[in-house]
Amino acid sequence: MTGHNTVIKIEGVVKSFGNHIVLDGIDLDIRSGEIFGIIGMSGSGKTTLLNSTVGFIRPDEGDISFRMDHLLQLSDKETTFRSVYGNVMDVKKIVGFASQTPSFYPGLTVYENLDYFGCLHNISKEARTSNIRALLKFLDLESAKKTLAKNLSGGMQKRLDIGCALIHDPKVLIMDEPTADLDPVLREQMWDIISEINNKGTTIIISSHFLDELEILCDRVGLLFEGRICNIDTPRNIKRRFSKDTEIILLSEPGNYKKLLESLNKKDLNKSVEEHGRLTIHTEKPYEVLSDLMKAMKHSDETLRDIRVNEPSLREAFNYLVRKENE
Amino acid sequence: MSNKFLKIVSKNLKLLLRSKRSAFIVIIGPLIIMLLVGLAFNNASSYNINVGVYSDSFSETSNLFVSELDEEFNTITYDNFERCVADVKHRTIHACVVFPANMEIINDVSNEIVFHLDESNVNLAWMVSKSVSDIAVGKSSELSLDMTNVLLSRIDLTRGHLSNQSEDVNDLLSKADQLTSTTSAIRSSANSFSSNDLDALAEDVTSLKDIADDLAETFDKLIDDVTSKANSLPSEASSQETEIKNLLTAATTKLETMKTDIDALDVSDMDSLVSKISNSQSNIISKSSSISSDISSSIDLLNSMQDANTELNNSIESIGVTSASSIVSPIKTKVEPITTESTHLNYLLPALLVLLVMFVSVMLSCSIVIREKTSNAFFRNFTAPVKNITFVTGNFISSLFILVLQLAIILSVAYWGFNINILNNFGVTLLIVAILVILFIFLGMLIGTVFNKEETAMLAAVSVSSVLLFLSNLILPLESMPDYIKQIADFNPFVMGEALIKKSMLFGIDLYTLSNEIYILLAYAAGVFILMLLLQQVMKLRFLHLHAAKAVRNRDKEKLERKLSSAFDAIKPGQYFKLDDGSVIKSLKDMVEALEYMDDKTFRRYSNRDKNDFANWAKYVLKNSVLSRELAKIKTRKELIERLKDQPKKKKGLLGLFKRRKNEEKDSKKKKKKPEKEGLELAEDMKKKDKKKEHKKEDNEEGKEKKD
Repeated sequence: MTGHNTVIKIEGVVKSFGNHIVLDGIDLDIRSGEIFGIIGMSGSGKTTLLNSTVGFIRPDEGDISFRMDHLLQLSDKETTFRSVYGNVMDVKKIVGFASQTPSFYPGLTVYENLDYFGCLHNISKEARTSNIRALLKFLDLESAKKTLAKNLSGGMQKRLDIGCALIHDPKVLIMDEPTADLDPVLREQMWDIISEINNKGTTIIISSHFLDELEILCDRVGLLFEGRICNIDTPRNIKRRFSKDTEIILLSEPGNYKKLLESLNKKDLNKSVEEHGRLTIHTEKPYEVLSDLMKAMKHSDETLRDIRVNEPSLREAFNYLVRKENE
Repeated sequence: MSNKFLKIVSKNLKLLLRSKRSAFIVIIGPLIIMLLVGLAFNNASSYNINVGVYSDSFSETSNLFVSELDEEFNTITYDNFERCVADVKHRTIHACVVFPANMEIINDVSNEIVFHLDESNVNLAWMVSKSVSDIAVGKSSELSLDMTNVLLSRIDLTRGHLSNQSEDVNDLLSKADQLTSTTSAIRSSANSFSSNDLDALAEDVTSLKDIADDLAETFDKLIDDVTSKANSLPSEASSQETEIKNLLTAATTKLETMKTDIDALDVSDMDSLVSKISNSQSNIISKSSSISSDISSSIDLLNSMQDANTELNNSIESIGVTSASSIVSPIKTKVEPITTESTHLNYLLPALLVLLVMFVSVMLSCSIVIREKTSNAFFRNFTAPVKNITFVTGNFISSLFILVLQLAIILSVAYWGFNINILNNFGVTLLIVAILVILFIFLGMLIGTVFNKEETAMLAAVSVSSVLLFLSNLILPLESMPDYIKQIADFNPFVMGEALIKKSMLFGIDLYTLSNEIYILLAYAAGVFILMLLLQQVMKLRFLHLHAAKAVRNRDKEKLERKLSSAFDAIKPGQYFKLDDGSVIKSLKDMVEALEYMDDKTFRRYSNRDKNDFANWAKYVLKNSVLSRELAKIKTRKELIERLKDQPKKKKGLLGLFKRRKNEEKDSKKKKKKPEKEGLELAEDMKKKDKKKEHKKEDNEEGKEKKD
């Protein structure tokens, strides 16, 4: 059911490459001003869905349409959804696309890249100059505006790529794996940027396999599994519905976690992982496990350095849903 | 729209110029080529050719040839034939000319001068061969001229002698005629003296003899009478009688003498004499006949000799060409250029121009397109509301801009630097060049569109250009190619372009005359352009599909690997293959590793005549009976390792899985180094947290104190 604030309507989209069915009847509504996250494993069809959304790929079946009155501020008479495939040029005017790999010319400077793509979007020179100035400030690239793009750091390149996608002030920003290949610090910076862009009213569709970032950023997420949308809801609701495990992350010294685990009741543990010097325990009975853990630490020589208790995560929900789909 | 074009062009030029190597190759390279070619070919003289000369023994004649060669080429005299030929192979010299030993121009001696050339150096070989042969032929002609002069002077002399001889023969003939008439007279005289005459003479002699006898008898009677009468005469008459007697005695003596003489006239002698005379007459007649016939045959001979002389004279007279140079070189050739140009560069410029236009246009436009395609920004261009034709036009204008710039420089250098008259029919020439530029830019763009990698695209661009180059007159004359190739080559745009520019620039042929070829070039350009547009559309869709399908393919691969991986993960601890040394085999990969470290003795404990634990484990734990059967046949450790390493190849995905696992291990090893950093970070975090806790505690304590 399409609500009043729906801006993109994806209806029964089917797409296959050869024998591979990539999108298998996708139905989806994107609401105005939201950040919509698409979760999916690698090859689940995220990129195909996003490419189809902007008209790069024509689906075998179904249609994707944009609500032009919202986006192009048309008169009421023209208030209607228009298929992407007859109006690719119009759609391109209102959509910005940031792909997984930065898309700009490494041999041009930051300013030249923004100017070039701005020109391609038919923005006047004055508007371009103004947009570029604002974007450089917003993306913290002012000091690097005369630097060749190839000489930028990874984070700056990603910011420039987003800048190129935003140069024409799009109403919808599509981001395909925006934080892939970025280190945690840069990822968090990127989250801030995305949030700020959204705060300015831009509808954002974001695909990622970093579930934590989608959990933080997205208003709604859709789980894409083997070409089908398994679930669409807010991250909070999904977690509530599909995850029961609480995550306990323990940091102690000297870190003899095997010994600690032996003293715990194995029935209470759904999963335990020792990585990066920390012990992560997934359990449906967090209080019992915590109590046992404290007791075990008292009896051992372990000194507690840090302990965190996380509510059920989107990752857990995702894993649960994937397991369920696989079954 | 125009802003977009300008922006695209400006972007392309910036990218090109900022890539120093590309800028150098594409922009500076052709100019350097032009300059070098210009300097190299801007002359009309022959080339700097080294010619080796060798002879077992140089003679005056061979030295003449050598000195002649020396005027044109750098001659090097060799004392060893093999070395001379070897130097041709090593290209120290361009030709080795071998003269015959003691070369002399004498009868029945063939003076063969042999040229040893490196024919692999096709054009140079032809040129060297021609130049050296020309010199040899020239020198040979000179010698022929000398000899012909000698021959002609001898013929003149002979003609003089013939003339004199002819007169002598005429004298001889007249004398022979006289002799003939004399002989005829003798013969007729002899013939007129018949035997009857001799018989008559003999009869006359007989009758004379008879008469003499009669006379003597008569005279004796007379004498007797006289004597008797004288005796009878008086004494006084005795003196007279004596006198008469004396007279009579004298007469008697004379008569006696006469009688004796007449008697001596023997008739038999007379017959023999007559027969002798007759014989002599016959002889005279026969001899005179033979003399006549001899004279006649001599006359015939003389006549035939005279005829021969006359004929010889006539034939010498009939020789119309009496100049030695005309005989030696009856036909002289002269190459009269149809143009007034004077240097090689003038003739080369059309080909050079087309060559540069072709290579630069094809490579530059191909480079621009393929760089765009392989650029990260290629995808972003699709997100902009710009039609494909705008990008195509932008790229075309970028290439065109550089080409126009280069052509302007090249033509300026040609005009002002090398004084080549390019302004002859300049408008038409410029139009042809412009069409060629457009055609080759489209061709380069088409190649760039077809290929996905810069290396292959550039290779294809060079290959296509080279094919067009090889099927032209620039390397070998088209006429030297098979007919069907020539027919194809006639429609080669390079050939057509070169011919058109040559016709226009060198011969000043007007546009209307050249219009057919120009239309063909335009049709080529249009065809390539349409093909390129269609291909671009296809390639664009393909790019976007590949972009999306790549992830799907990866998904399927990963899915397979996950399945395989989970198969191994599904092995429970109780099913692990535990070795005596305590190591545990959980997978085939573990098995390979364990076998690699295992010695053969240990291996025999698990695989011997009685059992094969590896095969059994594959069968009962991995549930792979096919593999198990194969492992059971293997007797040695190495073979088993090889077979297990091959296993992933037989089952798709396993190899990738193994490789991935190795990489994961490597990564995990690398990551293991990280904890130090993380440890430090953690320590800092913990310090911060401790400080916060302390602050909180302090705050709490302060709060409590306040409350208290």
